[in-house]
Amino acid sequence: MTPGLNETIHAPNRLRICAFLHTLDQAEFGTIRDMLGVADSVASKQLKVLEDAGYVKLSKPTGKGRVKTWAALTAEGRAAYDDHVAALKALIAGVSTTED
Amino acid sequence: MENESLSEARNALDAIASARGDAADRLVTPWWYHPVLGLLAAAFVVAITIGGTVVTISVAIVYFVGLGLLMGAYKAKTGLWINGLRAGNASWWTVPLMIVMVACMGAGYYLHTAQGLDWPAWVAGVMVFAAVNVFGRYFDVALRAQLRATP
Repeated sequence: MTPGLNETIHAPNRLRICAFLHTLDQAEFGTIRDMLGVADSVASKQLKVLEDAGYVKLSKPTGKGRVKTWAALTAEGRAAYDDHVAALKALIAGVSTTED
Repeated sequence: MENESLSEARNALDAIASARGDAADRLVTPWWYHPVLGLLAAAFVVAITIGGTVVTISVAIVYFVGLGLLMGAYKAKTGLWINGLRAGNASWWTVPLMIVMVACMGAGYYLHTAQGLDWPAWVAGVMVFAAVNVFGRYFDVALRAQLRATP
């Protein structure tokens, strides 16, 4: 792993989940699964990893009909994602500068 | 090794852009959202401007309950939620909307109390309805463009 990159966020599906949630306040589990184009179990596992790291908060609001799971980035998750994207950009900028 | 890291970083940024683009594609406001929101806001403005205490309280309750139901319907339809006040640069479109609402309410209230006129309140309601629909759509366009821009 390149220094500065966040190992938890860097995995492709988790990175896409963080990028998706970073633009929003909340997204429903099925919407995240469809965005990734993966099975329920895969999406669930990736969200669990992010939740365990404290980057994502999962909630199940009660109400009429089927209970749905909603995901949101925590403040810690937003900061970690911002740092990760900055590290990616710095990596590209650094190598590009070296190539010049 | 360096090229491998560079390629990995570029792929990661592409994945981020793809996820943001997907969010932009899904953030399509249902056609009824702004008209309903506009009606709620217009009723609120008219009630505050010329309504008595009972009418104002009743409409305020309908307004806030309506906002909650509208938000729930939007979330059920799109599977997403974004707070209009925390949407980056797109949130600036809420500023002219607030200005129109406050100006219309203030003018309508003044003309009602000072001149005894009721019709300006109804005009204010129509203007607020129009403003919600116009600025709401500008907000949507700005938000989608912002999401599709480079991460």
